[in-house]
Amino acid sequence: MSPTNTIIQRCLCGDRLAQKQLFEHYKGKMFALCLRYANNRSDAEDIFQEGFVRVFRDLNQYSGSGNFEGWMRKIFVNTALQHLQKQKRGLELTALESNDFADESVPPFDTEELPARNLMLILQQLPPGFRAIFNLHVLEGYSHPEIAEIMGISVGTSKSQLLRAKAHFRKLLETSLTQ
Amino acid sequence: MDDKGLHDERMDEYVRRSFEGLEELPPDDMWERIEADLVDDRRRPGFWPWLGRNRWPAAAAAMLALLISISVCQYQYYEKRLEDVRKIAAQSSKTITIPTETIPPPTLENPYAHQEKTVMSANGALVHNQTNAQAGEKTNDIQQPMGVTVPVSLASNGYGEIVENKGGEMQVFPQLTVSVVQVPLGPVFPLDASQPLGQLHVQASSTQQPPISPIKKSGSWYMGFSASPHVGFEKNRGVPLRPGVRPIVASKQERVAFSSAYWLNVGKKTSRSPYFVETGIGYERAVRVASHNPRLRFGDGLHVGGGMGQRRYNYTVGTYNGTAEVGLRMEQTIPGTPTSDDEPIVLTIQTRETAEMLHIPLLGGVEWGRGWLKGRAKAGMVFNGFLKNELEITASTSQNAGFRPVGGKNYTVQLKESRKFFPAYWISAGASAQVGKQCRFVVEPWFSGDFSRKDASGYLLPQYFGAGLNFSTQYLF
Repeated sequence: MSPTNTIIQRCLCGDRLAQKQLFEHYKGKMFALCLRYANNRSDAEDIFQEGFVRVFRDLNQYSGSGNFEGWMRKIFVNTALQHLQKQKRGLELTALESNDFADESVPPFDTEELPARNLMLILQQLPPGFRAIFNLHVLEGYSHPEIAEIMGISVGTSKSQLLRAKAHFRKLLETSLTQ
Repeated sequence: MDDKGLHDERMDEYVRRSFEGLEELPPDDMWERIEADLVDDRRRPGFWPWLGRNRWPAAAAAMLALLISISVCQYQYYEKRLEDVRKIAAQSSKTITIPTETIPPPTLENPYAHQEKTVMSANGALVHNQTNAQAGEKTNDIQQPMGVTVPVSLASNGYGEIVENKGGEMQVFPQLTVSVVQVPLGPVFPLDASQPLGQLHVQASSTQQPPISPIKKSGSWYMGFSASPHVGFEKNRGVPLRPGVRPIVASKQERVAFSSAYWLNVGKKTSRSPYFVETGIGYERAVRVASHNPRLRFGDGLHVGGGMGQRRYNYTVGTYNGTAEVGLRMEQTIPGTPTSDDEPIVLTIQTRETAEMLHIPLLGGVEWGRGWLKGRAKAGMVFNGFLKNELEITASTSQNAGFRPVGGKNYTVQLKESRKFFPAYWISAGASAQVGKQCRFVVEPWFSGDFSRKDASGYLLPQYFGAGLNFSTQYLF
């Protein structure tokens, strides 16, 4: 159930109880989002903490139209990307060695189920740049022009990096499935 | 769509389906952490809340503005007083007419009779008629149109002016001028020795005024360069600030650090008092060799690539420069050894922490003594800020034989931003030696220490104390 405008209005007035209600309602989904972008759980906690502070601080910018959860997701995604940018390695977009990529002939994808948490760990093994583009395109649904604008890269780079990210993810996934 | 695209699409769909609706619980204390940030981050409108958040920079700016204002006001006050003295000296004058004296003409018997006459001025200065001139010869003083010159010189005690003596006091001296008012024409000398030469009117004016109380010169400024070699030691504060906050490992300085700060100083001594104020800017590059001992749990490591069962462990370390998040790669000594998740891993990590710092002092002091050698003492605040901040792991060893750090570059470091400026206190006492009128050397032992401070996340950071000698060369103006 989405929070009513009343809760949002109370949050804008600094009502701590309303803010906690909002936090309790969305904490699960947003923390899962943070885990998908972060290198590890402690990074995810930092992104999550900063993301919620930004949500409450910028709540007056929510116009009331559109999906509130979608608005929150954008804030958390931006927070996650900025957090990755601050880290020493940054959002590396350099290619890995060519033998890490999928060959021309792609084996059929095995849909054996893995727990989502294992998928999360596999996702965290991707380099930060690959992970960010993979999340933005596959899971958040951003288009390449939108990704290019968010990350400050060209559309072509976004497309090529996504291909490499998917290939790397596929390799890690298949390694996990065969273990 | 080709096979590759189809497989990608299937994989994408699989991933989306797996993550759809996925929820993960954050730590139990997360709401408290967010709530604390909301309290700190609240932006209340208005000047006073802003001032409260920026109290230290505001205090420094206010003291600097006060110092500059006092100096400008003092300068203007003394300039006005000097101007008043000059006006008094120019305006007040008193003309005294000395009774006309008849100068006896020279005679054959006493050709120099006219030389012997003296004229007394009102202030007691003697006006001598002296001559060493012969008839027709001109002197610089008075010329008689008919060729007879009667030189008059003055034996005065100086001309009126405002003079500064060595003690910095200013006095006004009376002025004595002599001018020839009228020189009657007389016969050409020497037509007739019995004829009088004529009358020489001498008018002397004396500019005198009541003594003006000496004006003390305004307080002097100085600028200088200082070097402060010192030793530094720390007091560590590794206790978590808030309950439930993830504990951090405190980095401890392994040995006493030697360093030196370099300063450009400017100061001003107030007039009629032994006090002075001083400010400036300082730079220091300090290297700190430290170590810390993180205690990890085998199960907390995240699998990473690279084979040999490598895992990455993350922990937080508190250093003087700030709090750092460290990611360290570890591997099992014998890969594949069955290990419980609760197996402890204890590490000894040595670090090299490099900081470039800026110092801005605001000090007050007192000077005592006479002559060229004086004692002086200073105390006040120094505001410190980091220009550059680096942490490097120089060595890492495991106390558990089953695990070891991965060889090569095996860590990542993310330094959290510490507060830009933080205050410290300063006390010093020493001696100054003045060489000449405008140069001074100062040597003073000093002691300085930080006040308690936290990083951006609220963790208490180590406190630094320094003690050393300050050598300063100053130019007075």
